[in-house]
Amino acid sequence: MAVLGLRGEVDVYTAPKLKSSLIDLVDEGTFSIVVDLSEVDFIDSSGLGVLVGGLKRVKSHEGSIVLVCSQENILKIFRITGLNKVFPIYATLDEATKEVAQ
Amino acid sequence: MTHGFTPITERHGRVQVVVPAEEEFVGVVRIVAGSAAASVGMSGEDVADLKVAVSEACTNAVRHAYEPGELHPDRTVEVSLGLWDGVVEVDVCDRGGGVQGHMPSRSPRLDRQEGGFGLTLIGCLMDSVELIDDCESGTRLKFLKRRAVA
Repeated sequence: MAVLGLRGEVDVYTAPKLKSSLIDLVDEGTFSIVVDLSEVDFIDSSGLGVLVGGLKRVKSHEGSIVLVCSQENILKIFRITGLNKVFPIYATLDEATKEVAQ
Repeated sequence: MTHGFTPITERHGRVQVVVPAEEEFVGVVRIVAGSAAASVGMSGEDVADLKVAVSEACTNAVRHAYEPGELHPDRTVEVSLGLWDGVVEVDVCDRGGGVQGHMPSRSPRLDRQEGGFGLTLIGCLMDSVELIDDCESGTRLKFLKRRAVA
């Protein structure tokens, strides 16, 4: 399991960095990934797209991506797009890592 | 989705920003739009919604403004913000090939768009959206957000 802690904004400019981090993890054999969005101020469809792409990659290895987020403005984005049903979302990193470890 | 609206109160003015159609400038437009929205009394949540919509529209402009294999250093995204008390109307225009232009354009530096939630988000977060796809002058997206009434 790996924890990817993001901070700042995840948009068309910064999302490629998240994408390559996810690709690197999969390449090195890590398929169970916790993406911590607690320190993220902003995310849009570029970020969502990268997360969906990452999920497809880990799922082909029977892995998973779970998210940490408790900010309402970001949770709203996941709800509107229905991605809150695709990614398990936990309020804290502790909760997320406990669930994944099981 | 089309919409006509009536300016309901005294107009505050218009803020216009033109940036290169490059990824790193989308954040600049978000900051301007967020400030402008806050200045006409939008709530924190409304401002956040507007910034997402603006980001999506500008991202589309950046993604679509390039012909594959070519660089267009003078491609721009023009954003015009009409401001009224509690209302922001955003007009995003790129000078490119159009969303359904004869050449579906992508920047060679950007990967194929994954997801495609952009217009969904704009449609849900904004009170009205209008997509004007004119291949000659580029693509124009207009949307409007009204301060939520408690």
